[in-house]
Order: sequence, then C-alpha cells, then structure tokens
Amino acid sequence: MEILKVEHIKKVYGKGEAEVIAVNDVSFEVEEGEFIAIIGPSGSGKSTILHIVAGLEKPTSGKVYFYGKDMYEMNKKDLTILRREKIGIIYQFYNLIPTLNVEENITLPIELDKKKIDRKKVEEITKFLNIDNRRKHLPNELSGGQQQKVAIARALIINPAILLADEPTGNLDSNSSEEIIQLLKKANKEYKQTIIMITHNLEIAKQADRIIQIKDGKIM
Amino acid sequence: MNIETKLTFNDIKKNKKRTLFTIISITLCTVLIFTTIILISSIRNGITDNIETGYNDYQIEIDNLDVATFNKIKDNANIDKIYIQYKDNEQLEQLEKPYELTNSDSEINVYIKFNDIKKTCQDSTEIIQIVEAAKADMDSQEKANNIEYKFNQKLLTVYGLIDVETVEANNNLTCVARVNYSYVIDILIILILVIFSVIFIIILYNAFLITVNERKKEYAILNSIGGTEGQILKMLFLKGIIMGIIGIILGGIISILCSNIILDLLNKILAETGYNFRLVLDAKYIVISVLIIIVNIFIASIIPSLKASTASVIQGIRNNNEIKSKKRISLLERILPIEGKIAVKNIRRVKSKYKIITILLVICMTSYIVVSTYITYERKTADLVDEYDSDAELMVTPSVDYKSILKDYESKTGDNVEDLEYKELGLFILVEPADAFIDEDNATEYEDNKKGIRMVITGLDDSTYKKYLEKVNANYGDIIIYNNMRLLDLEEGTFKYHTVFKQGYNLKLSIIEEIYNFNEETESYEDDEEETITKYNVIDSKSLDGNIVLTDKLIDGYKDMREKYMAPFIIVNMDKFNAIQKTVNTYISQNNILQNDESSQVQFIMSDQDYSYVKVKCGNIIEFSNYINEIIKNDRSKNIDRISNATYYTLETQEKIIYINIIELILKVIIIAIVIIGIISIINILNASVYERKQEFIILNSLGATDGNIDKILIYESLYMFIKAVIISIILSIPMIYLIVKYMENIISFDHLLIPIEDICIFLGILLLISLGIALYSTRIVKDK
Repeated sequence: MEILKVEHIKKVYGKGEAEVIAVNDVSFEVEEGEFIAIIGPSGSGKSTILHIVAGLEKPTSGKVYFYGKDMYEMNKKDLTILRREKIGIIYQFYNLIPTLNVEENITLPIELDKKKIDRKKVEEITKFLNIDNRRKHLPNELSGGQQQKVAIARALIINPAILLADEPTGNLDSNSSEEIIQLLKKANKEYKQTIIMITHNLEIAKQADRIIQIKDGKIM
Repeated sequence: MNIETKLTFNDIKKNKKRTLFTIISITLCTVLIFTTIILISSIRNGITDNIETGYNDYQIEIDNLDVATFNKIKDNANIDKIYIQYKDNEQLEQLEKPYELTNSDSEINVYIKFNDIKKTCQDSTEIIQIVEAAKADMDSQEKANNIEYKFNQKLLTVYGLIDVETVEANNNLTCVARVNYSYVIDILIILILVIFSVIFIIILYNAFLITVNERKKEYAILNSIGGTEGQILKMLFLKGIIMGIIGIILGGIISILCSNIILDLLNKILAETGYNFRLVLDAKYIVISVLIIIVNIFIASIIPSLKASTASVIQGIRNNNEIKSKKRISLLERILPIEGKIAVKNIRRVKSKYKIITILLVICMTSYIVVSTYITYERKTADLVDEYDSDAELMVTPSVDYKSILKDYESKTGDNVEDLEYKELGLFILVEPADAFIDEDNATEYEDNKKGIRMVITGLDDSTYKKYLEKVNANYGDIIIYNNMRLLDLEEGTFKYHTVFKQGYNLKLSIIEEIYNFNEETESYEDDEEETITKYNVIDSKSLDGNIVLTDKLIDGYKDMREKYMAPFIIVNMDKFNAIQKTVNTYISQNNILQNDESSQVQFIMSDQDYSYVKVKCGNIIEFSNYINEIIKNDRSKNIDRISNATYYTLETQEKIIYINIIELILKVIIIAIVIIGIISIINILNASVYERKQEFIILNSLGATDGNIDKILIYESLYMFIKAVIISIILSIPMIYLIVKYMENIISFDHLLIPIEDICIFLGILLLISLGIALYSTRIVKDK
C-alpha cells in the first residue's frame, strides 16, 4: 500500500540573485514497510526533501500525499497532529528535551496527545533499544549513541506510519552508527516499520531496500 | 501534572537567572506603578485632611439665618454635619442630630457639610432654594437681605470645584462651580498609569523575548514531534502567570515599604507645616493597578509567545536566526577598524534586539534630561518667587541703637536673632550702551536715543554686603546689579519676572533727573507716559563707576526685595550708598527741586531717607513683636517707628517651597526607578545577547581574535547604541523642554536656558560606563563557561 507520494516538489529559497533552488522537481513514492535511503552530497537537498515530507517545510510547488491526502491542504494544527500521530522523526543531533529524563523524552509525543501512557510499551521499546537501564537519566548523562536511541524510541512510541531519519548516524562513531543502523533495520524487518533515511554515506545507504540518489536538488 | 506544566516548571528551574531577571523586572515595574498610586492617594488624603482640620470641614456657610428658616433646612438628607455660630460669639459649635436649637431669637451663621462633597453644588442649591423661598415670606426685608451664602473655597478646590458661587438661573438662585475638575486627580492617575504601562510593556516584552529566544530550539523540537502552537503558547503564558504573580506580590510589598519611606521623608520636609501624610491604600486604585499590571504582562508576553509558537521549526532546530543581508556598506563600516565593522554589521543585521536597548537608553536619558531641567526651573523660579526669609522688618532712625535692642531681646528670651540693615533710594539711571537692554519696552528712551530705567539703589550693612559679594562672586567695590524686575502683565493679570540686561556688555551707569515735556497748549506737563519724557539731566556719572556684576541671586535675609518694586536693584555698601544719597540731595537742594515737582523727577521712592530698615529673623515672632511693641509703648524717644509682622508671608511661601520639595522628591524617585529598571533590563539583554553569540566569539577566538578584540567589538556596539540613544533623546527632549520654558514664562522669563548641562553629562557618562561595564562583564562570564 502506498503511504507516501511526492509529486514534483520544488523548494526555492531567497529571491533574485540570492535565489537557491534546494529541491528541483522531485517525485517518488513510498510503499508500506519500505526502507528507503536518500543519498547525496552536502547541499544536494536531501534534508529539505525530508523536511517537506515531514510537514515541517512547505514546498514552493508540488504535492505531498500521505495516505492519499494532500498534506499541505491541511491547516497548521492538523499537520502538527498528523506529525504527532503518524510521523516519527529522528535528527542527526538527537534534539532531546534537556530537562526531561529518558522516559519522559520518550513519552513526550503521547503526553502532547493527551493520551494514556502504555508503560509496557515503553519498557518494550527501551529493551529493544537497550536503554532500559537509563530510563531515569537526563540526556546530558548519556553517550551520543544512547541519546540517538532515545530519539528513536521517542519516534517509535507512537507507532508511526512512517519514520523519517535525518542523518541518524552523522554524529556518532562507527560502532554506534552500526548499532543504530541495525536497530533501524530490525524495526523495519520485525515491525514492518516504513523508514526513509537520509545519509551521505553509501555504505549506510546500502543497508536500505532502495536508494534514491539526489544531486543539486534532483533525483539522479 | 500535565506535560505543559511540567515543561514550564522544568524551564523555570533550569533557567533560574533569566527567570529571576524577569521577575525582578515585573517587580520593579509593579513597584513603580503601585508606589505612584499609593503616594498620590496618600498625599491627596493628607492634603484634604489638613484642609479639613485647618479650614473646617464644611462646604457652605449661610450667614444671618433665622432659626425658623434653619429648621426648614436642617433635616435635609444630604447633610452630614452642621456647625453654628451665634451672633456676637465667635465660637463654632457642632450640633448633634436632630440639630435642635434652644435659642430661637438670635440670628445664626450656619456651616453645613454634605455627605458627598462632589455634589456640593446640587446639595447647596437645594438648601439655598428653601432659604430663598423662606426669605420671600419674611416680615423683615432687611433680615431677608442680610442672609448671605459663602462657600469654603479652599476645601472645595481640593475636590475640583473652583469659583463656587450662586447665580440666578430661571428666577432661582443656583449654586454653580466655574470649572469642575472633580476628576483631575483621576485623570492624572490614568495618565501616569498609561505612561508607566508603556515602560512596563517595553521592558517586560524584552524580558520575555529573551526567555523565549533561549528556548527557541526546544519549542521547535516540540513542534516537530507534534506540539501544537496552542500547547506552546500555553506553556509560555503559564510561565508568564507564575512570574507575574510572584512579581506582583513582591512588588506590592516593596511598594508599601517604599511608600512608607517616601511619606516619612515628606513628613520630615513638611514638619513645620502641620501636614502629616499617612499611608492610604485606596482599594479602587489598587484594584485598577493590579488589573493594569496583569494586562501589561499579557500584552508584553503575547508577541514573543506568538513568535515562539509560530516560528520556523527548521530554523529553531538549527538554532539560527534569519539574518537580513545588507548590500550597502555604511560609512561607519568603511572607516572603522575590523572590530567596529563587525559591531556595525551586527547591529544593522539584527536590528530588533538592539532596538530595545536603544529604546531603554532613550527612556532613561530623556526622562533624566526633562525632569532635571524641570526641577532646575522650578527651583530657580521658587528662588525668585515667593520666598521670604525674614520674619519682621523694623524701620529705625540713625539714633536708634537697634543692635543693643536685639541683643537685649536675645539675652532676655534666649531666642536667636539674625538681622540685616539696608537703606534704599529709587533713582533714574541712564544705561549705556542702549543695546544692553533685553527688552526695549522696559527702558525709557530719550531724545538722544539713549535709554534709562528706574533702579533701586540699596545700601547694605557691611557684614551682609560681604556675604552677598561672596554669593555673587564679586569683589569689594564692584557695582552689583540684581538683574531681574517684576512687571505686571496687563493681559494676563499676573506679575512676571524679567531679566533686564544682557550679559557681556560693559555697562556705564549715570544718575539722572528726568525732565517732563511741557505742553504749551494745556500749559501743563504731559501726563501721558508716551509723551512725558524725552530729556534728562545728568546728576552724577561717577558714583556708579566700577566693575559691574549682573546677578540673579537675591540677598539672603532680604529675598522679598524683588517683590517690592517693579525695578532692578543696584546693591552697594553703606558708605557708597550714603555718598550717592548725599550727591543726590545736594543736586536737589542746589536745583530747588521740590518733592512733588511736576516738571521733573529725581527719585521715585519717596520714603523718609533718615530711616533705615532692619530685617529680623527670629525663633519666636510673637515674642519678638511683643518685645518691640513694649519698647515702643514705653519709650517713644527711641523712635522705632514701625514693625511689620511678616509671618503670614512665611506660611504661603513655605507652602510653595514644600510643594517644590514634594514634586522634586517624587520626580527624583520616579527617575531613579526608571533608571534602575532600565539598567536591569539592559543587563538582561546584553547578558543574553552575549550568551547567544558565544559561538561567534569562539569562532573569532579560533581565528586569532584576542579577548581585547572581542571586548572592542562590544565596546563599539555599546557606543553605537549609546550615541544613537543620546541623539534621539536630545531630539525628544527639545519639545518637552520648550513646553517647560513656556510654562515657566507665565511666572518668570529668563534670558538664557536653565538646562543643567553638567548634571546631564555626568548622568550620561555614568550610564555609558554602566552599559560598557555590563557588556564587558558578560563576555567574562561567557569566556569562563
């Protein structure tokens, strides 16, 4: 089943002489359960594509259909709620809330949704990611790899329809990077989690089912 | 606890310093508003209490009322109190309800106080119309005509009712007030609240903006994982509410303490006048103030909150700001060294942040310039107007040894007496060059185009003269001119004070006799001022030779000199005075000039020149007056001719000085509060700004910039904002100072502006040092981290 359809999206920044076309007429589809890697050099527009797909940045032109619905026809609040309920996002620099501990960071999207927290699920995910012994720690008490696992847990706790990972290993050493990639693969295989991952590393990209190459804002 | 509340409390705990600064800002602004309100209501209450005590708490007085008519009005529901005064008995007695009178034959004076003083006119009209109806039925027309209505104007003025009187309206006698300022105080309070609210909002807006900017990334993360704008707004408002409640409570407590201290200071200033202000918490104003503060906090927080909740998620997560590119390079960027270039670029590209600092500096500077100028003018005016520094004046002949009399008095009573002897002579003085006059209309022009003016020659005893020389910075033998004169403004019906001569002229003074024109047709001398004088004879051009010193300082002990005559004064020592007097007397006798000669005039003050005047300042004027009166009664040969008791001037002038001291105190307190709030806000902003830019400083450092280079960048930034603020505040101050000068011109006109340049420069210097100090201190903290 097709979860995501991106149609001729274009993103332009600035005006006149300072105009930059970050994404230039990009189209692709994502089926349920797919693990896609978008690869390209720095400045190729891959992060911009991810932000557009996540509903964080409106394209200058083009459409993004999520389960057949045009995302950018929704109002801001509905888009935010969609993100809260259906889209999990993992960033290169983790972006955890520094004043909340691991467990609180993980359950944050659920609390924002005013839903009851399933503690069993939290336990399950933290065990899956091997951070269950760190649940009461603050982010600054964790290593980079551990922080990224917390970010993954936060993204997975909502059972997202799609998980978007923006250079998830960009800030990690090779061992931690390998661990994260294996976890993502496991989530994809065992839980049929649909994943779009941004990377500039071909070796990491090869771990995905499909690779989309981007250069100068266009699909190669 | 829901997530929004949890995150808010976490943020408060984590950012203690920033939260503290914001709470301090709210507290200080609250103190500013509350203290002003409390002081106004306390002072107003104190004034009305004082007047009610001093001038009795009645509004209308009905004189010569018969008892029968009194009985018709006494039960009026609007009456709170009635005092009566029987004929031939000065005692006022308060009647108790039901206001029965025992003696039904006498006529009485009735003093009525109504329940609501603001409704005096309506209530008085009711009473008056009953009395008027009763008058129509009276047997004796004379008795009816004797009934008079008077109003306690002094008391009513405090409540905004002035010129209260009775007028005929539709054949009925009605009480009217000329202008009703009932709500003047209320309007003043609202105006103050509006001005302070604007300051409050600017300062608080900025404090919230900093708080929000520091959490920008966090809000962006929340948004990216599904936190709606509404949820983010809720967190921000919750933080605002928590800080607001703490700030308002603290501010309220501190306001009460500050108000107590200020009222104590005021009471000390007013110790001798009988005023005693006590703290009055008017519930109406307190509630309004609290509501206004809450609204201010809301207004100040709404924009930063909306900015935070609607900000770009991506920019927030990347923690970068939108920097506007500027194509054009400014002149400053071209001429300044690299540190200055970076400073100017920063300011030009991120204007909003620096705008707030500039605005705060402008508020502090403009407030100080305007208020200090106003205080200077007020003090100067008070110095020249309505100040009386002696208690009594004696007129004595040369044979009277007044010094011994005063010594005797001192030893007998233990009182302390200060005295000053002076003589005066009113002469016509030719002044050259004629250009030296500021206003031609103040001078008399003669047919040779020269100009002259009446001047009072005042001779002082040696000790007073020496003190005066020191005061005006002159040397023994100098001719000192008191360069102000009082003139009646016929249009406005008030006296105004004018400076007479311009500074910088080498004046030559000659004593002259004015010759009047003889009209051949009427065979009399012209009495029309414009036709009267064109000629003069020089009596003496040498006596007033010497170094001339123009001053606007009055003689201590004789400050009422400028109210006596509409002429400037020449102050000399007694020897010189006597010499001038002798020269003039010789001229008069040689030329057979009679005292009331119509053809010419030599002197315009016709006092007996054998007498001199002695100003006396003592501790107990009543005792002194009695002592002198006894001497006069017992020994006429001592020729002490007159004592004028000047105590009634003392009270009125004291009120004016008190008023100025109160205004000065309140204005100084407000200025101090504004400056403190401004400085705290500037500390907050600069501190936050430097912290935000720590990455920039690290990068600069890594490229080879030393601590000194970075300090210079901040110094250039501070100087840029400071100079900009000075220019703006000077421009803003000009119209306000113009208004002050125009207002003061109703009382006195000066030939130069009285702006306290030195004080202002010192203030600006201190402000600059503080701004620089804050910026540099902030970099130290960043470097330490």
